[in-house]
Amino acid sequence: MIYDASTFELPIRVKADLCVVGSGAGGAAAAAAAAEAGLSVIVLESGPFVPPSIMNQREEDMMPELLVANGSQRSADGRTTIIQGRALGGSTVHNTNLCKRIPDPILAEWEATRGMKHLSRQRWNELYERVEAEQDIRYIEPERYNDHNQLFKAGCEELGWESSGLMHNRTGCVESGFCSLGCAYDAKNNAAKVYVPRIVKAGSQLFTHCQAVRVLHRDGEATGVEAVALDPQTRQPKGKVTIEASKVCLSASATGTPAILLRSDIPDPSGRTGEGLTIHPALIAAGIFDEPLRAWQGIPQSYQCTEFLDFDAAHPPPDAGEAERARKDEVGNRTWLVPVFAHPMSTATLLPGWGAEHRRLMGRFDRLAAYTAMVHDVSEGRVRPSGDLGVDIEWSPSEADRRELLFGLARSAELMFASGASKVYVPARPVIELEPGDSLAPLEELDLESGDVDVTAVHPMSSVAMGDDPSAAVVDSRGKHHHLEGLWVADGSLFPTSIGGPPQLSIYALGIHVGEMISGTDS
Amino acid sequence: MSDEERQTKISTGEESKSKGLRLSRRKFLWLGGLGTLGLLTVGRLGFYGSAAPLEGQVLARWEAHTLAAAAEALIPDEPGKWPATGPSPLEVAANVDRFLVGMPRGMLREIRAMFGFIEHGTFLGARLSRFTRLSAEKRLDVLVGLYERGGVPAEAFEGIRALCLVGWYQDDRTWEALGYGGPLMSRPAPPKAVTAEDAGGYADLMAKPGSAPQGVL
Repeated sequence: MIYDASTFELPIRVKADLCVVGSGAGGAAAAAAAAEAGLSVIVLESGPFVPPSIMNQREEDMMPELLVANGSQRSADGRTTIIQGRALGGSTVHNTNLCKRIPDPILAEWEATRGMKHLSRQRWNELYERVEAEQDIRYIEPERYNDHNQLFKAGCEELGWESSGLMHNRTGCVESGFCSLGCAYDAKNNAAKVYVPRIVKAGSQLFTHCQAVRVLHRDGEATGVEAVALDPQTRQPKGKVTIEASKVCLSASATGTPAILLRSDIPDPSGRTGEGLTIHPALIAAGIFDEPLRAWQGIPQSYQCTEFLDFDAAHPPPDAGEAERARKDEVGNRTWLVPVFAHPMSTATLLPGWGAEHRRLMGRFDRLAAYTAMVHDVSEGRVRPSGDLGVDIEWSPSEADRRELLFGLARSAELMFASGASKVYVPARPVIELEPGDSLAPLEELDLESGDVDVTAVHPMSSVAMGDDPSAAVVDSRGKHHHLEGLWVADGSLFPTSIGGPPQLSIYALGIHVGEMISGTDS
Repeated sequence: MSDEERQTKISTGEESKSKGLRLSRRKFLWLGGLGTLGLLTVGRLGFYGSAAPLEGQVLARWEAHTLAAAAEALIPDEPGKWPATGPSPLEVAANVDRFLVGMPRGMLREIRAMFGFIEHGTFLGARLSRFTRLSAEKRLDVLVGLYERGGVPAEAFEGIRALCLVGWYQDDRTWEALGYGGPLMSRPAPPKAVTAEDAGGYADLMAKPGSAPQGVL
């Protein structure tokens, strides 16, 4: 059953076979696999359960329910906004349903550099096929592309850029366009819809408003989790919750998981816990069109441009020749372009200016489009705990990522004009306003270090990278911690590098993989 | 220079935005505290009672008043000429107050420092009056001055600008001008404590509030 831990008589001590921390794609899938294998499982989720029946499609109500810090979580230097979910189901409740597999060159590189003896490419394929079947993942039919995506597609075709449709996990979608605020129609095949009912049916339990603080351990073995019940209104601790379990699986995201590990004083000779954070940083260009396109209506992000996403170049094989290896450092191989849009409150904060200028831009809200350039990043950030409940996220772009981001921004603007925009705006201080025919070269010279250009990320990863060598990795390719018996990790932290696309499908796959490894039921 | 000219210049990217002082975040928090504390000595605190009756859950009365005053400068086409359709400045502050409930404490500390810096940091610009006692035009000058200074002062500008916009554009009355139809359903805000009665098709999954889970020791 789903329990609201804030209503427990506190403090409370509960026993289970396995405690899973986090109910997003990794945690929910791992918990379902373990529960269905017969383990008694308790899943801890710091956020609330927000069933579709109470979702109201309003930004000011749904963002505080669904997003960490209401969507305003930032890196320590304040220059990068990192959006993460906080409800039962994690980020799968507010995401836009995109599903992409990890490209083969990346998996091949991981095998070459990290061992991966328990997670071969064949195992990935098996896991992907299962998740795709469980979640009814399929391409969006072209006739369902909304005007925003149609314009994006037309721009790609005008420029002759490689582009294609995208796969989503939605069933019964009514094309309302409110996906980012949670699906009130329950058409998202997310963790809360697909895996939570299975966890409950298998006799296991989920505690909402319950935040894990640290892993308990003794003599090299996990013994449970120390957590706190949170007041639903203030989100401040109400009392202690202790889970006694000989198996613990951390699935608290690439920010939460390393913070818990570090807070728990768990041995890590590799020194890699919390290191190597990647986030898929993105920059945005907005465009004004002559005709209304109402970009907020219909299915978002159904089409992509992969012209500047060359995984073979970015991940050359170990036996690659010099010329092939040189391509790795070339700009323009790690940029993914997709349309992106938001409702008025979020859009207003993104658009630059004030007074008449800002009101004039907002007055064209129904003629506004936005394209984002998301980078398959190589910069290594860091996560550290902040007190018992918080995290500090350090991330800034390396020179290579800075160049790739600005290249992507320029290509977004180029694509926007090719789509027919009469004007393009780059949210920066000062705002950059471009007319058709203007040179885009200055965009590639912008100063990201100053913080005058807004960088946004929605995919933190790689902060507890898996690898089979205990001297170089924290956990192995089963998701099992190298140095603490009974401790596992199942979320995006495991990726050894960023993956260049939406991670939810791969995190679900990892969740099943780790859940089966924990319960000994892997095929 | 008029605001319109300023905006045009800014829009075309001609004006330098970094005019010196770039503060660290710690200095910003310190400055916010200094602004609030030091100005006790010149009698710039107090007397917000009649101006801002909002009793917020998060914002103090003076913070709500500062936010409403900033909205009067930043939202209208011309400072002080409040749009006929939309929430009042105080309603903007009330909307923001509701939005901030449950924000992490560290973030709320930064937001409070920002309010202190804006309300009482006017002395850095050699103004004797606190922000809320300036005319709407002068308030806009102060805010744009922060923006033009760059660094952490510009972050303060961006912070209060964002809060004003959050408070303004969440209101249904502002949507018609955007061509935005809003939600396709009319439902209240989600309850903070969800029960089976709220959960629709998920009701069977929910335990009764206060009930003990299996395995209690």
